[in-house]
Amino acid sequence: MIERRKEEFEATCKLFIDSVSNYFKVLTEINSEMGIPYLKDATEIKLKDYTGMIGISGNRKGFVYISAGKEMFEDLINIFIGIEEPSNADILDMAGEISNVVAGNVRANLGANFMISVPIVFKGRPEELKFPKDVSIYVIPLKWKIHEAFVVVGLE
Amino acid sequence: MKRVTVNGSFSQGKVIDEARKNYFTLFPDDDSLRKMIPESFVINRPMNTVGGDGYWVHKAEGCLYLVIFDCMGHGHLASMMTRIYTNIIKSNVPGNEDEFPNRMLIDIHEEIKSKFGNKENMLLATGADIGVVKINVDIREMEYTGAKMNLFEVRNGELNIIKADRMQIGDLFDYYHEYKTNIIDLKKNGDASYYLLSDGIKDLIGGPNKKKLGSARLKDLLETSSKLSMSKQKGFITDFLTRWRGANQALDDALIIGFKISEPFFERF
Repeated sequence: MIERRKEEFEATCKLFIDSVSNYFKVLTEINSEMGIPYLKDATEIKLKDYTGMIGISGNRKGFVYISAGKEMFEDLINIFIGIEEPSNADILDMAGEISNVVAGNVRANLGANFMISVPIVFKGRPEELKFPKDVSIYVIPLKWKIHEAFVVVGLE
Repeated sequence: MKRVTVNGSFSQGKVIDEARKNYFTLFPDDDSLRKMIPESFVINRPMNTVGGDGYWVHKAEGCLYLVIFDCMGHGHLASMMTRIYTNIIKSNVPGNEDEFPNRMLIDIHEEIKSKFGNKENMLLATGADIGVVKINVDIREMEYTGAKMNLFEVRNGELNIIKADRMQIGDLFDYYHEYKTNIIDLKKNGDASYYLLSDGIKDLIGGPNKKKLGSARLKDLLETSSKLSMSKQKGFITDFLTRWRGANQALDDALIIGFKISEPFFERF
C-alpha cells in the first residue's frame, strides 16, 4: 500500500515536471532544465521572491507552487506581453498565470478527481503561511535561461 | 491529516492573495462610486480571483466620466490588461475633457496600438469592449460612446438600448476604427436608470436548462430591477445572478454598473 502511494506520488510529481517543462518549451521556445527532485521537511521549505500556489483536492490532497525570483517573471512578462518594466502587480499576476497553467495541464492528465483551486499569489513569505507537517514535499529545482526557480509539490 | 486548501486559507493560516488585492484596489468600490454618482452600484465578479473587467470614474469641472471595459480573456493575463487600460485611460482623459467620448476611444485605441501593434506571438489579447459615459452637468446632457458595449436605459419600466459600434478597441490594428457619440438629454430622462455591463452577464450559464442568460432575460431583469432604488438593485441583481448560475461554473468575468443621473447627482456635484 505504502509502495503504491509512493509510486502515485512520484507519478504526479513527474506530471508537474513535464507540465513545467512544456510550459517553457512551448510558450517561450527556450527549454528549461529540471534538477533532481529532493524531499524536504515542511519547516525547511524555500520560497523565492514571488510565488503562485495552487491547492489540490479530490483523490489527492495537497498543493503545488512555483516560486521564482523577480527577474524570471520580468523576463516572462517581457516575452509574453512586451512590457519591459512590469509593476509588482504584473509580476504577481505572472506568478498566478504560470502556476494556473501548469496545474491546469496536470489536471487535464489526471481527470476530474484531481481538482485544483484558483491560484493564490504572494510576495516573499507571508507570516500566515503555514505548511502542514504531515505531507510529503518534493522540491524540484528549475533553471530557465539564467533564472533559478522551484516547483514544490506537497501531497498527502 | 489537516485539509489543505488554498482559496484564501492555507492550513491554519490565512494568506492574502496579493494579485486579487491589487485587482480590486484598481477600481473604486461602491462607496467611492457613490461619492461621484450618488445613485449607483457596482457588481464586479471575476471568474477567478482576478479578471479582465474594469471601470474608472473621473470628475472634472462641469463633467463626470464613467468608463467601463471588458478586456478579452480572463484570469491573470487579462488582469494585467485591465491595469494597462486603466493607466491609459487615466493618462488620456484628464486634461482632454473637451473631447467627445468617441475621440477618447480613438486615442485609447491608438495608445494600445503604439504599445502592442508591432508585437508578435504574445499570450496577451489586447482588445477590449468599452463604454465611455460623459455627463455634462451644466447643460444636463449625457454623451455615450461604446465599442461593442451597449448602454442600457430603462425608463418607465421599458428598456431602450443605446447601441454601441461593433468594433472593439485595442485590436485589429490594420483596420480603420470609427465610433459615434450618442447624446442623451437628461432634462427629459432624469428618471431613467442606466446600466453598463460586460459580456459575462449576458453569457452567464444557468437556469433550469443550463443556458446563457441571453438578451430577453437580461431585458426582464433590468426592467424589473429598475423599479427599485439603486441601493436595492445591487442586492436584487446579485441574488438573481447567483440563483441563475446555481452550481454552474462561470465562463467569463461579470461586471455590471447601474446608475441614475437625477437631482441628487446635480445637487451634490
